[in-house]
Amino acid sequence: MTFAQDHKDLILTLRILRKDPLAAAGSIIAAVFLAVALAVTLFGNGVAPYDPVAINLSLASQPPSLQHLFGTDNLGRDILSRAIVATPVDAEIAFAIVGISSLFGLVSGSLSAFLGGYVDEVFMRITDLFLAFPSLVLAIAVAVALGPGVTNVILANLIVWWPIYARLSRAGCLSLKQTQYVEAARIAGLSKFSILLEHILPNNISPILVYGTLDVGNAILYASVLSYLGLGAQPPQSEWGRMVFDGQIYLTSAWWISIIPGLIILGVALGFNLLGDALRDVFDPRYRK
Amino acid sequence: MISDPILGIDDLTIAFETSEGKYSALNGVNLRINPSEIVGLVGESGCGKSSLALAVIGLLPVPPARVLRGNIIFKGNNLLKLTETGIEKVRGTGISMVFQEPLTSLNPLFTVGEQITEAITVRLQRQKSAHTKSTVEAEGVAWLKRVGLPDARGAFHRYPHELSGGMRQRVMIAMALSASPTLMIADEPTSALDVTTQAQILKLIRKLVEEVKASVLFISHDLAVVAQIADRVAVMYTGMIVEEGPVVEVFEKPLHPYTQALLSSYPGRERSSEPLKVIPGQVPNLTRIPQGCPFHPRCAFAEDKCKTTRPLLKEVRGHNVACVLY
Amino acid sequence: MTPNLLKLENVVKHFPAKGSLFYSEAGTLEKGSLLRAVDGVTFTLDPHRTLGVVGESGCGKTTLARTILHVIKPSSGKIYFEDVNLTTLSYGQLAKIRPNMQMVFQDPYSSLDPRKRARDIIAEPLRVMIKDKHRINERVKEVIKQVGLEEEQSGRFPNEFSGGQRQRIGIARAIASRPKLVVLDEPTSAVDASTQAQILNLLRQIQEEYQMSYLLISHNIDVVRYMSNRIAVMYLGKFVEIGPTEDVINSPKHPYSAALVSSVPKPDPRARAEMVEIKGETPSPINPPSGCRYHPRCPFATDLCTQEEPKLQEVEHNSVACHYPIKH
Repeated sequence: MTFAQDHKDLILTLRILRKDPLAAAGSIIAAVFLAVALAVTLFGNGVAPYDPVAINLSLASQPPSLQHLFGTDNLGRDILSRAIVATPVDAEIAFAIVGISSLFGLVSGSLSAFLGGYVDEVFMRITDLFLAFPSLVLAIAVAVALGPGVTNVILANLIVWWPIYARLSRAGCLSLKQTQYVEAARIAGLSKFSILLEHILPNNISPILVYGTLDVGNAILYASVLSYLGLGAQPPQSEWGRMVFDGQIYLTSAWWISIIPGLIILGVALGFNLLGDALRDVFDPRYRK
Repeated sequence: MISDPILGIDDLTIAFETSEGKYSALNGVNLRINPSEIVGLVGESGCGKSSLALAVIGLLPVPPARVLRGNIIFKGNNLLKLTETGIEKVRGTGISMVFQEPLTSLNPLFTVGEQITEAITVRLQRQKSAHTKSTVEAEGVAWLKRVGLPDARGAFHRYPHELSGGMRQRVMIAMALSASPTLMIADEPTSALDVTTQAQILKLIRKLVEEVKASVLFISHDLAVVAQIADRVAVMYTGMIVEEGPVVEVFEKPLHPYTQALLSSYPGRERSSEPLKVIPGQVPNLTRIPQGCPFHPRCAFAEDKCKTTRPLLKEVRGHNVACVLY
Repeated sequence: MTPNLLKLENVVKHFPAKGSLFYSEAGTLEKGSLLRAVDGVTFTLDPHRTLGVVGESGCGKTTLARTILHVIKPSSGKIYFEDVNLTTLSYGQLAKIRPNMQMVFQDPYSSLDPRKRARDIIAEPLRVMIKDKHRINERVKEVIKQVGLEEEQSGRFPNEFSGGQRQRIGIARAIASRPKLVVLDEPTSAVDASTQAQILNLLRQIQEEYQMSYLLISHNIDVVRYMSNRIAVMYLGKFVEIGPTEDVINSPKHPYSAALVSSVPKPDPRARAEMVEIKGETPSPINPPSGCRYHPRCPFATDLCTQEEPKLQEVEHNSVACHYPIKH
């Protein structure tokens, strides 16, 4: 079997990413985001052009220039450097939230749909309960209760994030149960568990993958909001949402302190959205032979 | 009495550009339809018959389709040279169409009555006849009755999804014929129906078409259906007509090897121990049509000449064949 | 007396009808109404024989096939496979019998898991019986060759095959475990004429070699005629006639069988015979007509037919459920 046949999904993904400019833009943004996060994690703050923590009042509130591409904040710190160093925080939060809740949702939703009956009904009501809360408010409430810090931000968001994946996965599982190849597997005598593992879960992954990718953008937004409110990463660790908060009193005099981190948040979230859209096209049957 | 054909297709060649290369939907199609005649167009899936229907009624998206050669002459006018407005004038009263799946070709948001009165109104407007809402409605109900809907007045006020498949197809036929077309194109109109309903619909089409004196281009993959309804039959393979003639002639004395093979692979016989005759190989993809005669790789009688010469339709013993053997 | 391979006794399958779009007849859906898909079917099938079940949409033949294979549990009635009553078995016990009864599906595009390789799909029915991976692989290779595919193709995914080839994979899967009974559910309806001929030949060939029985479900009478020893005609959940193929086709005794057989177009332009009259369309299986279910459409119906449902009786080789069977 050739590499191409084994990895047809990958090849199709690459082809779409090449052709569609929005998809390409999305993947570039996502790639840069990941690369920067990785670099900072491995090599520390040295990756940034300036020391993100160094306070230098003589350079305070400088507009963007060639020396300081994003300008400096009210304490003279280079904003570009602070933004770079903040990247792994959001990366960690976003991927932890989406990764854990999608995994949990995939398994629990598929199981619930597969077992059906009473178990399924109860499970649905539980997800209803969680979904009934405005998610951001709930996340804030939990974060406040648990106290500030990155781990707590992740935990708080997990609580509101998993039900959607569970529902998504359950819906997929229900329709897969009706397919003829699952019927054939039952006629072949496969155990219910084998059918779940071999036929249902693998075919259920693609909608979760698509939604998950889109969701990373949302998770970054939520993480930024919580940090803006003072929960999440604590100083001196910089974080984009926190930077937006710190700079807002200077909006009229030094807009770049607040606005630029805000644009970064927007840009990265958008990038993952575009990437998720492209992935959705990959799994859309129209693109398949 | 020999009269001019109402539809003459000459050397029609249409191709699409796709990511896999040039998709040759039609390759030099030659076909004539005379007044008050039912012509059956038969071929397997992927032979281009639906493309031909769409080309005639102007529904082929151009681009990505490109007309490379040929004409479609309908009552003296070349349809390929008409603008979109020009073609719209031909549709309905000139050429009307019945599709395979009426659930997708009838508008689900409008009642049956609204759709059939629309067709009738267009015709009356073109004929510049006076009409009122109630006369149009009465004619609509009369048509529904004529196509055999049990409760015509009730059906008039129903939505398409409230009717069964057979009833919807009758509605489509009513709409197509109420416009008084010269030519009705029916693309697999009975393929989605049960066999008893199909028999009823075929009988209906034969009867009505004679009454309104329309011609029909009846497209089907099913040889037996075509045998039951057509006056003349044309056999299509990879975008060209390989054999064409009066239906009895073609079925009893098929000349082209493909026609012969199709007829003999039909499981109409009893449970005998003879296996069915099979045509070796598969219908070629229209992006990779073989050189010379497109059927030669699968033909039991192929000679060297067949690989290089593309045969044209020639008259042989009463009907037309495109084969090097003749 | 050889035991029958398969025996059905008054098998019934009803579904609760909650606004089904089976046939959109306004006003016939009441709370608690039942969709009587299969409404009392009785027949036997011997080893190495083929029974063809013909009928139009809504007659219940697909539900019947799935009930026999126990994908759906019957509402009542008994199904005996080699004298074992399947309805009394648990999921686990049934799983042991399953290798003996398999199915070929209609749609080659949705009956194969797009994420599994051909050889893994074919191996599924073997996994219940054989634990040794090596033996499973050997058998898969054997079966792939038998259905006319190449061994090298066995590692490919379904979307790399054509419709006809996929149908062969489906057949390979069905015969891998050497079943005694294979249900063929419209095996050639989704492929074109030349592929159909190839598939039918393959199925006949396999039947000879394995000496298996087929239950062939189809709306295509020519296919059923070519493949079957006996034919059963199904209408609104019941068999209206059952008998040797040639008898049912050439001298049908039930008016519906006659109408059905005469509606089938023949590839012979000279034989434009008038079909036996049949009025209207198939009614909904939710509220079947009283008495004989066929009476609203039957040109010969009398008062008796509206009141009393006829039972299957022997008439010259066939069993017919009609008060006035056609005499030939």
